[in-house]
Amino acid sequence: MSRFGSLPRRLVHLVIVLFLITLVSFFLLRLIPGDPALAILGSSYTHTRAVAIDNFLGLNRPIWTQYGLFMNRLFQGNLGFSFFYDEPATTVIRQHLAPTLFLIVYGAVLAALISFPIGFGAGLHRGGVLDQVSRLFFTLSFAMPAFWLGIILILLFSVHVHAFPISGFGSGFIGHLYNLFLPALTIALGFSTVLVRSLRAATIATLQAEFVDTARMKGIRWWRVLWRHVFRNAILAVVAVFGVNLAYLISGTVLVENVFSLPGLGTLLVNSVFQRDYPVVQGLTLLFAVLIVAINLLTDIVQAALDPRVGQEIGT
Amino acid sequence: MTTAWTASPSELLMRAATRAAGRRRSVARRRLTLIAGLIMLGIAILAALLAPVLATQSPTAIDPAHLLAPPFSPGHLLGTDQYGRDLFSRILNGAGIDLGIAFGATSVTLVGGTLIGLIAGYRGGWIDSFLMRLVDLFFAFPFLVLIIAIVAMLGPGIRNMYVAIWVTSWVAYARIQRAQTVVAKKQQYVLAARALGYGSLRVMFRHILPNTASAVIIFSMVDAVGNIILAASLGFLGLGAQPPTPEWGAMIADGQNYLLTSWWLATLPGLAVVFVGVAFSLVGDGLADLLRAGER
Amino acid sequence: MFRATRSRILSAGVIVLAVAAAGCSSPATPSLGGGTGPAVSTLVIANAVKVDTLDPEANSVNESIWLDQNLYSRLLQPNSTGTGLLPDLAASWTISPNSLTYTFHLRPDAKFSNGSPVTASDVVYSITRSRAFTGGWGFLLTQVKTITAPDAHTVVITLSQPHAPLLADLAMYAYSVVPESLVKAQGSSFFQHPVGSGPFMVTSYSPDSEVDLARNPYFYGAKPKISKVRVLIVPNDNTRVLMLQSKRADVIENPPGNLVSQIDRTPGLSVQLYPSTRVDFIQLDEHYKPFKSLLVRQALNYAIDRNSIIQLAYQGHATPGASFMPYKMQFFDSAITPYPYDPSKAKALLAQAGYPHGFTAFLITVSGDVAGQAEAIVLKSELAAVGINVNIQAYELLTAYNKEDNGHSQMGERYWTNDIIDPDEVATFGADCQGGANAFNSYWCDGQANSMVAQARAELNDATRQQLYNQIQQIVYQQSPFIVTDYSPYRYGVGSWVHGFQVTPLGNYDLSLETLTISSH
Repeated sequence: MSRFGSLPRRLVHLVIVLFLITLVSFFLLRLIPGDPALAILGSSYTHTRAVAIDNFLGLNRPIWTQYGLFMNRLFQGNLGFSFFYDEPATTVIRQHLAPTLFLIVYGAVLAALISFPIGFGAGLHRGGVLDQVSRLFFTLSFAMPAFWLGIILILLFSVHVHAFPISGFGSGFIGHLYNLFLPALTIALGFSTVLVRSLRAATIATLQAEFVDTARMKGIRWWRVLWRHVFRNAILAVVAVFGVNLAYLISGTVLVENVFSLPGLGTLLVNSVFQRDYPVVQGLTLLFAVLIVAINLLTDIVQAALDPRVGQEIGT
Repeated sequence: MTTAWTASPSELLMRAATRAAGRRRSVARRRLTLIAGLIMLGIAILAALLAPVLATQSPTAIDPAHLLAPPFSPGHLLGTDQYGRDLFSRILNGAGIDLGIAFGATSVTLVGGTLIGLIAGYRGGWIDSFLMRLVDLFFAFPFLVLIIAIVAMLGPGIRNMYVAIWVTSWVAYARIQRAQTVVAKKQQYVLAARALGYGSLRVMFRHILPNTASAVIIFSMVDAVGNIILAASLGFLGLGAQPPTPEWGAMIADGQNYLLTSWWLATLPGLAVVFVGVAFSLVGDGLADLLRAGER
Repeated sequence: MFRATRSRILSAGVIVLAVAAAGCSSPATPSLGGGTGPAVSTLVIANAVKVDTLDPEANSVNESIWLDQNLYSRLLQPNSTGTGLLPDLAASWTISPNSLTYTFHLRPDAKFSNGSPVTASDVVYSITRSRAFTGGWGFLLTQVKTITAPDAHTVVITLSQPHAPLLADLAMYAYSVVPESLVKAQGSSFFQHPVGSGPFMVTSYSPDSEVDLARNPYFYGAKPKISKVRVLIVPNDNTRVLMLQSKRADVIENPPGNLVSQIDRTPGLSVQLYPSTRVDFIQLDEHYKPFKSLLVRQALNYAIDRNSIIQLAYQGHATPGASFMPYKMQFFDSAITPYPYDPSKAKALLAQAGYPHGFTAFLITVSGDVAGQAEAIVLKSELAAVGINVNIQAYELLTAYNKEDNGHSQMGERYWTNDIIDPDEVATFGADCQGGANAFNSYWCDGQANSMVAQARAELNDATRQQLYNQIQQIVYQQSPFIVTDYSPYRYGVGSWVHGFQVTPLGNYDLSLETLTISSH
């Protein structure tokens, strides 16, 4: 399949998938027992008040009518009005976007900073001390639940040593970097396990490949060999890993956000599902889907650009 | 890498020989990994099976006189929780639940997802398109929403955790296996088999699957760890096992409230999770090396 | 060489970073006064739940409601013990002899935080608007016929029949007064940066992380001693406690029960318990046959040791429940005492009812509710002792409510809190099966109780009302359509450098914010 010939087809598939997602999220939400009126009324719930609220929110109309209205609004760029926040759903989502994006990028950068030296080092000296120790370390950290790790980091670095603030997003760019260091580190450690493993494997595989010996035999200097082949293939592997895992990461930051009290998208998603805030959940689902699909597409394009033999075994 | 990179054939031959010897050494090390992992896994399984015998106290009996006893208290090796329940027996009895999730939930998704990926990859055409779009759909849908929705609809409890995991986790296997199958389809041994007139089913299951299964099997080890943590996370969100079931994840979630005063409530079940997780990881690593060496 | 170099550099770097960070002071720490010298002027409160909106007609979260109390005024306000009403915007009022017309005289000096005066027309607009809000609190004012403003400082309300709770209804947060012209002009975006006439105004609003308040320069009451309040939203229990311990917060809401003694032991910190209007009870659905029997319900009361529930679920910080009305509220009947713990009597009653071997029932609890889970476990073991097998089912909140509100449940853990200080609300929801809540979802019905609730609602004489509510409470106590377990107080962690923080039974702390001071720390 040519590099770009499949792109239009991919885009069509993309649109179909996104459309299906709006359908599934719409109906799935309404299958969950309990409705928004319960969240709004709490212990002062009466049937009369609930019916009034449901009518007001348009929840008593036939479900296909509701879906039609939703899609109609969606095409106009309107996600609807949040049931809980008294604001447009887009506004609510936008307010929560910054902490999560910052956290993910920060976490990815930290993961790269941790993984690259360790992954290369372990791969270049297979069986060496770095390799053994890092394998042990990452095997341990991989098996740790993220929320558990987060609390321990807080105990160590915020309480016993007043190095970092306990919670919150902070203000200003430096403030964000400071406040989010521990949560980003928590995410990075989980991410690094896969990344280090991948880098190491890619490094080893490339070093063992015949063309490296051939290149050496031809007398090419070692660092050029390193750069052109080992690094290249390693980055290919990394891009694939990032692509797959970044997608999970987006919805997986919930627990970290909870432990560190970060008002991000993950927290918003879970709370909105629990509160049956349908417009916000639908909006977030769509947003995540778009991001995941876009990242996958981007990953494929980058892989294709770096290596024309894309579609092979590296990455999934 | 202190040796010079100016190449001379004899040097290269020597280096190849040392590399081979190194490989033999690391094969031994790799087998060690696999063995260590299997031993740890064996311990966990034994603990789960022998729990009724090994646990001296009931995992669910409350004891208001001995709340929050620290480890090494008389009669309570690992201490007690906020209701006075013995932590050692709770952890032992919980082993069965989490191991069950690790094995039971994972094996179903492994088999199901692999089958789907195999069929999609081999058949190609519209079946492939359809199945892969389905996979894309599941991948793109935030899995947390899906899981919360499923558990909220079906109610909490371990059985519904299984369902939630089954419904969401098969996609990774499908994608991996499909990629493997697509590549394998073009390999010599498959072309040969088809030239010999073997039917599709036979080619798929007798030829392609055995040669490509390593990827999904290795992934399943990683996935098993992930499923245990997923169960813990569901417990953390309040969607997991029902009280007073001693599921490790729910115990960590409960113990989180006591982290500042009674660290053992969350730490010890957490260590149990780590132990089992490491076991699976080691087995996975060992298998990976073994299978990859075999493939080459 | 290459092998060791990179990793050594990496680890050295990490160590340097950690040491450097440890040496720096956090730029994110709020400036809580300069350490020495005069009193501090910013109060930092850490709440457990995020704010939903600052629109008083639409609030459904307690923490938002408590913020409302600081930002807006109402015609009247509850006093600090929650047993009576004080003037707020209405300096005085008169009631016509037939009790159908109320005339309120507004104080002439009331101003919004933008300097414009609070007029009667603003009051009329606010009440009318909130009353009309779908699913809101309009049902409290069904007896109101007209609300008018004959002049800029007078509001007249006429009723179709006497309505004793009217003044308490008007003191409710939902009937806060907002500036008519601004709300009409800006619509719902007004509430992103609202203007009210309360002691404080909003300077910054991020409903999920922080809401900042500053003194309202035009406030008609006493000028608060503090000039700023920062309300931080910190859902994680441990984090909140850590913030108090490290002095990054002055007051924290609801520290978890198991950390109460630890906080108390820490010098300079304490956990304050404030009487609340919360009543914890076990809902019983009479659609489930055993609960239709009065003997069974009474047996349940005797089978439960309320003290052990309080011990395990609230670390001893709660009061055993007797009357279904909140503890010591207006017209509370203190003569009613909790059912004693008597398992043998319970068994006898069960046998009498036709259940000598007990029965099985499921108990719906809310997952994540620590106290509730503890209570459920105690209940299970205590009821097992009399032969009742309880299966605990934990659902997330709304799923639990959904199951409990539709007549298909058996036992459920629920609670009640007052929104107004008048007993009419709790009586309507809990004692009147026609009141809309089916007597706390029990579907129990007592015609006498129903008519007394209606009578008490229209009776303005306090002594007569007390009699009526006493009788209602007795009926509910005898009939026990639900099991009242305990009254649990509000819990706040407070630093000793904060002087005068008080929470009213309705949960508000605005009155105390007007007078509290903070020393440097």
